[in-house]
Amino acid sequence: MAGEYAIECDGLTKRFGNFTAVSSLKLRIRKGELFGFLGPNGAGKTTTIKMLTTLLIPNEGTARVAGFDLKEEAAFVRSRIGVVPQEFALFGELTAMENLWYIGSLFSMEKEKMRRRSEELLKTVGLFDKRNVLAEGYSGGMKQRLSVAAGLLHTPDILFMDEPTSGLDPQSRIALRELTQSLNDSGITIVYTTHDMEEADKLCHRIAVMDLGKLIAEGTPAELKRMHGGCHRIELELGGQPDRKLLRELKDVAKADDVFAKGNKVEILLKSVRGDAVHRVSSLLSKKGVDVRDLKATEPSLEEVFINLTKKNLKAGL
Amino acid sequence: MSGKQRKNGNGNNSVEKLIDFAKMYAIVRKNWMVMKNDKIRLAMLLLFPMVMIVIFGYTAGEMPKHIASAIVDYDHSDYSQLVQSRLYSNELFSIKHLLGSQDEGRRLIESGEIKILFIIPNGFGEDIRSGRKAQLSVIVDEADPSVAQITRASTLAFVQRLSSEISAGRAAAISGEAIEARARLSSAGEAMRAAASADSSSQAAAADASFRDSRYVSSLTSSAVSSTVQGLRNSLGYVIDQSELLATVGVSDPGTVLYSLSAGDAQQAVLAQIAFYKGLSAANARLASDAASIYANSKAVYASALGTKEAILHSSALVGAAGDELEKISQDALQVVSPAVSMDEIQPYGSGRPALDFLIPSILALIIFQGAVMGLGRAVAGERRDGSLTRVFLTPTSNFTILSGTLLFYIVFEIIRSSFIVLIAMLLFGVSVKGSMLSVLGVICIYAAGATGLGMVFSVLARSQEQYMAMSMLITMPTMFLAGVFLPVETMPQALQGVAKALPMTYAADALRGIMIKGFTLGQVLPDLAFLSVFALLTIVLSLLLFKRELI
Repeated sequence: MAGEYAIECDGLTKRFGNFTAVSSLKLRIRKGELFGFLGPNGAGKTTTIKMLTTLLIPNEGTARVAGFDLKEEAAFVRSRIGVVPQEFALFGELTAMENLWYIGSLFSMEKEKMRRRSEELLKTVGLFDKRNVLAEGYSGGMKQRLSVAAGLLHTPDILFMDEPTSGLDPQSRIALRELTQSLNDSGITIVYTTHDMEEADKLCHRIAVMDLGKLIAEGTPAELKRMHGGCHRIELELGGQPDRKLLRELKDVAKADDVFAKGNKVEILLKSVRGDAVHRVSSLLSKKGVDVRDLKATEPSLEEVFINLTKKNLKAGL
Repeated sequence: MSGKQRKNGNGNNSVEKLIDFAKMYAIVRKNWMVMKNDKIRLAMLLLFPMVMIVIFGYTAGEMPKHIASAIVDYDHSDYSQLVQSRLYSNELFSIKHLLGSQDEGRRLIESGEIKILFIIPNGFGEDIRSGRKAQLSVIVDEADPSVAQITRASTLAFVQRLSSEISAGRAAAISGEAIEARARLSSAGEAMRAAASADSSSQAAAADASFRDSRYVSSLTSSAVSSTVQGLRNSLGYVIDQSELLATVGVSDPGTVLYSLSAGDAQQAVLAQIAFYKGLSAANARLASDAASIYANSKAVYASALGTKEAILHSSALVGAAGDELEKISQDALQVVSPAVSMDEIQPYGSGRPALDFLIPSILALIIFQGAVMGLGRAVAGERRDGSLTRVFLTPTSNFTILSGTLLFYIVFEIIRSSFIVLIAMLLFGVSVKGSMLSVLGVICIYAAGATGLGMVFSVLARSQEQYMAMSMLITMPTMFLAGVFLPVETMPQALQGVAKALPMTYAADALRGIMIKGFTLGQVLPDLAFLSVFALLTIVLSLLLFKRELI
């Protein structure tokens, strides 16, 4: 696969009847990237993934995936990509080894090679001991890990993971996240969709935010936070209700963008970090002898970005 | 990993081929592994036809016994006595009353006390004796259609047997008369020969006696022959008139079912009898001319009173020939008796559950159809729903290969399952297969392939197993009722009968019946096979065409 990009698409559009699920999507995903798709339910993430994995045929637009044209060379695309679908999508009536045998056979893998690779992968995902147990007896996390193994069996260049952690308990979630990270470290391009902002923030190199079938923002988590209203904030809980004068002083000393008060609680918003704002706020308060019960500083979150972006869109949509 | 080329694990094998046998094999094997590991599903798939066949076999095939009946005898002849005694001894009927009038009988039917009323009309015995068409009227309670249908069939069988018995009796009597005539003829011949050797004075007296004798013999012969002919006509009348008799019973079409079964053989018996009847007419004509010669000779002897030895001897020889002719007639008459009696054996009502032999092929065809059409929910619809089909779509495997592999598995599975059903039927109900088992298997292969194809069409169209079930119900439920297993197709409206005739199961049942009961070869059921092949081809091609990655 020559070129810089693992995936490049232009004007990708999918309509179901009158409903446009994805509209004119333009996207570049570099090789080796761990790329995240964010967006509320129905934003078009899964439709996009389905198009990029040849499951749905786009109505318009072109795309090259793993160096092959999506429409003209779909079979080649399929042989170079691995997918971990949202649902289990394997056979509960088969063991892990049997499931992998079936998938491998459909990739025309050589028998012995397939067996070695299956065992190696099951060791990687921690299912080797359970390799001859019927998959219907697996827990949700185990099923998801088997699904990852199935997606990796034919050593794809790109692995698509569609909300792989949804519905998993925290331990399984963390384990799967670590697995994803290490896979990416080993060189596989990963396209990852999720609802979990924290997960996307920690895991993904770059993120595309989708809403109502459109790409509404794209960039690294830090870029997104900077560009789309992610705020640092200092939250105070005082002994009594603050007066206007105090609020104004707080805003000045912190060089804050805004200050809100509700009862005895104060929230100081800063769009970007401005020196040691927390220190300056706390020294002002102690100098003035204000009774401070609690002081908390928080970093901007992707969730905020997400809410900001999709809220806007929701209003526009309405 | 910029610049770092990941080596593809499958080298150049990843190119998608339209027909990939290795992948088809993998799909077949996967399906088998899935089914084998899903013990409950496998058990249900095998249990379903067993339960069906047991239920169908024991309910549909069972003949009712001791149907409450009554007799009205207006005739009071030997023959009506015979009918009565046969009705009493027949275990199909339980004669509750011997009534004086038809109205009484009708009241009993209306009250539900009896299901059948047999009416022996006045002149019944006389009609039989004189060789006219004798009619036995039967009134059947129509309140319970299925009982009525079975009753009609039972009555038909009874009448058939009765008429056989009567013709057999007649034939035996004719044969007896022929033998007696033969004896008289030979004694006449003896007398003639004796007269010829006597002196000429007594020759005139002997000739006179011989003339009288030969006249007597001639008349005896002709009466024996005509009564033979009459008697045979009579028994022929029985064979032929059965359908007319049914008309009086009120059946428009006496169940192609039972009738077609015996019709072939009955027809043969009729044809044999007609041939014999023709031969007999010729013999009769010859005898008549012989008798005329004897008479002429005797007359000449008498007139000249100078009878020569030769003339008398000639007469005697003629009498001898007539005797031989009669002996032949008596033997033939006895022969004719046998096919009439053997009709009993070719009737489907010989065994304990007679209709079962006829119904088993229909039941088999129905179960095979139901099983195949209802059993493919998982095949595509289910896998589409649970996403495992998506997984297959993510591999470089053509739609054609995917569906061919799946079809192959299910067709083979259904063929094995169908053979298993036939085996169960054979073991459980002692169904014997007259034709070759390979022919049965041949029909089953084509039929199961078609039914599987139809199931596949639904499976390919449905988004879920629930949708699949709803679609297949649309076909399987009507099929069940148009199959003729629960309700006779003949009693349905014309339009529905047309639909029934268009059902593949009708053709499969017909082919199976031909092979199992009549011992047909595959060549003899070719039209059925042609229809089934076209059906299989259509459904399979249709399923392949309709199988899409995306459902609209």
